[in-house]
Amino acid sequence: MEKLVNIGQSIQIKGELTGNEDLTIEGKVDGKIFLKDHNLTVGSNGKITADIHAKNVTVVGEVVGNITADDKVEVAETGSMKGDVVAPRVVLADGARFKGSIDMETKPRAVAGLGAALGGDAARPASTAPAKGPGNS
Amino acid sequence: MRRRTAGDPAVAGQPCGSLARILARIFKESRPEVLDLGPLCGQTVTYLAQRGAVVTVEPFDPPHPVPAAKPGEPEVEPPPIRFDQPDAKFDLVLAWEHLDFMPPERLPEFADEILRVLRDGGWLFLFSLMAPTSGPDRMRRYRLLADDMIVREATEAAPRRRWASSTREIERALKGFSIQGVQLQRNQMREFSAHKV
Repeated sequence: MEKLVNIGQSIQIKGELTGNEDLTIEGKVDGKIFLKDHNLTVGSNGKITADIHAKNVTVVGEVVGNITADDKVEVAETGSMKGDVVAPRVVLADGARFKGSIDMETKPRAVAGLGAALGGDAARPASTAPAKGPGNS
Repeated sequence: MRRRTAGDPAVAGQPCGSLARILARIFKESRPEVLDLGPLCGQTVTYLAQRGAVVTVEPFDPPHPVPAAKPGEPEVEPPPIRFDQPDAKFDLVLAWEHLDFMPPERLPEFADEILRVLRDGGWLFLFSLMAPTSGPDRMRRYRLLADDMIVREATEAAPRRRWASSTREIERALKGFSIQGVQLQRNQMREFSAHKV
């Protein structure tokens, strides 16, 4: 089982953060984050001012910066994100705060083709968060 | 074009033919740019992005009425309506119900700002309630199920005054546009589609 690494709530990092394992950030990071083939979770206390590149990125806290993900970006209901997202799969929960652009086309064509060829799930469409409020149409 | 029909029992939305026609046009271009003024519906954004659009979300807070100046005091100049977006970038602006939540005298300024960010030939799509509400109302979220099927949902937005401008008033405010259609829905919402000439 892969070890999960945490950057705790009291930790502040300025500069470039790179790694080869999954990471959960509950503290503050200013700069750049690069986690090739690994997952980044910005926890509910996490405050990131950085451009991010990872395999999967989950935003439960706050991010200001652009995110590029090889697989999926998810902004949870409590998440706040200001910046542009490039990823083949994107989930924006209703109630999330988001300002920026979503581009699912740049990566997905190559990834979807590869995923289909390999029989993997990379070609799956983006999932979306379910409705929370009652419909009234 | 992805279509569902209103007769499909799995579909709980309302038909939205004008938007379907706009989407059919903009997706003739590769990678159209869409500006969604919110409230955010993640499913709508990802639906359009999956179709190949680059979707920009800029949550817009409609201007509140400016209180009348007290005697002897200068009038307060309201802040201008301004999107944080460059000129002539977008092929489609989704303004949803924003028009109903700003004082009618600000409508022309709102329309001008949409014109600024639209490319020539770009499209505007919005809803407006036909009749006034009895009290403050909440802005709704629109969930796109298919090109021609949409669901109007409640949100947690703070209740605000809702104006009910006449179709003529809205047409006047949209003077820089060519209005392509005004359709009345069964829920008393008018659906406006217009393009920048």
